[in-house]
Amino acid sequence: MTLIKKSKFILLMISFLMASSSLYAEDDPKKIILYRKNVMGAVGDHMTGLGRILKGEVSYKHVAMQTQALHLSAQMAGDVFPPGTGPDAGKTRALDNIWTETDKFAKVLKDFQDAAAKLAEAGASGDMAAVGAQMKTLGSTCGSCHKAFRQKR
Amino acid sequence: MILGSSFAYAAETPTLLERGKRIFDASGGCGCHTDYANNGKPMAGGRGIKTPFGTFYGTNITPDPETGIGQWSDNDFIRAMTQGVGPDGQTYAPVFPYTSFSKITKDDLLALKAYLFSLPAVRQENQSHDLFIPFGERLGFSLWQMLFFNPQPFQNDPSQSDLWNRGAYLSEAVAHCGECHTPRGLTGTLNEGMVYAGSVDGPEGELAPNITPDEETGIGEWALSDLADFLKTGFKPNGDDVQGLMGEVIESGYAHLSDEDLEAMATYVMSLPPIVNQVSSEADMDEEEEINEYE
Repeated sequence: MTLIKKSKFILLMISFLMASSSLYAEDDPKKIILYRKNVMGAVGDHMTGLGRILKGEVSYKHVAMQTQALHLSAQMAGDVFPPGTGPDAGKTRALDNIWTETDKFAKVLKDFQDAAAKLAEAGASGDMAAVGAQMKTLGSTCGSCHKAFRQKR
Repeated sequence: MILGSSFAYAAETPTLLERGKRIFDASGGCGCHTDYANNGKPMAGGRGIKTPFGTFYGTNITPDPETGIGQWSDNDFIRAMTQGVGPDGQTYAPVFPYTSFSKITKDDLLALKAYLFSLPAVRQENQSHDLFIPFGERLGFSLWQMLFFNPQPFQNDPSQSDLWNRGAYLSEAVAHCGECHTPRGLTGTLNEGMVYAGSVDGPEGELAPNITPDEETGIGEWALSDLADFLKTGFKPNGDDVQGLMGEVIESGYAHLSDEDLEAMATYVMSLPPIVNQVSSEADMDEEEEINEYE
């Protein structure tokens, strides 16, 4: 390899390394905030939809799919709070203490993800009573995080 | 005439104190009189309530004889709650929602007083309000009453069910939903054409949503059971918790009501005329535009 080709190659490798080590470093924080609202909004929509099925408002046999969607949404939620996307970055109700009380935030996030995973299991099993009960548990994990880390309206 | 409170619940709340607690819970736990933010003692006052006229400080309504209402007679209490006048003849500002409480029955008021008097007495002086009122406080509030306050007792609607009437009484007289959720005019009076249609300038500067059953701008997409569940738990049908002042009054009060009472309130609210009124702050509206930029 020529010296120029080698240098270009090294430069390319370095930029890949940088990109992968801070995955969203290049993303516009304002867009991350919007994306986060899409993800959390999806949680709300799936909860509402699942609620309609359980209340008998509609008869779609979608319980397993809705609970799986909630499980996946909870996984995505874990990624959408990178540093630099707090109130200084744009219009968001995420509070600054997400990035200062990191242990507490990690805990409520994990509680949320665990509850959603359990909900998907219940949904897959077809046990409607378990689904109903686990929805309440999931809802309370939403509340715990919001109470501590989300700006009230 | 059968008054809103007397039927049905006499059996559910056999003792005076249980009856009083029910009214206490249905009012939202009298939270204006507890300084939650500073870990204040229950009902001991001191909570700052910001209004366009300045800041009011909730009073001590524990039975302390010197700094609370311990020396108040039954008539003093009824007069304060239904006429907005204190034992010394002082007129209260309608930030104290006697405009709604004036519809509570005498029996329920006596029960409420008994319940309040059963709570621990706390010695805490009331803080002076920090206000700017044209003509000064006494005269200003008296004038306001003369012009705008015309108390009527609660009237049952015989064409509606017992459950509906129970809900109407609880919502209008005790829970006083309209005091926050009905927008006000410049004179501070409730806009009677916009009942429960929401206001951007709600109490403590919080937005109070449109809770009429309009599908687009209100809660028309909610089932009746959704609303009853919400009043018990603070969770909306999408699993979101409401937070803020509404979260507080649910936690402090409505959550302790019986399922029948909550169903009654939900029945009443969902029967109201749907009013198209989009209540969102500017920030909400910008957000909506951004999130839906691809629609």
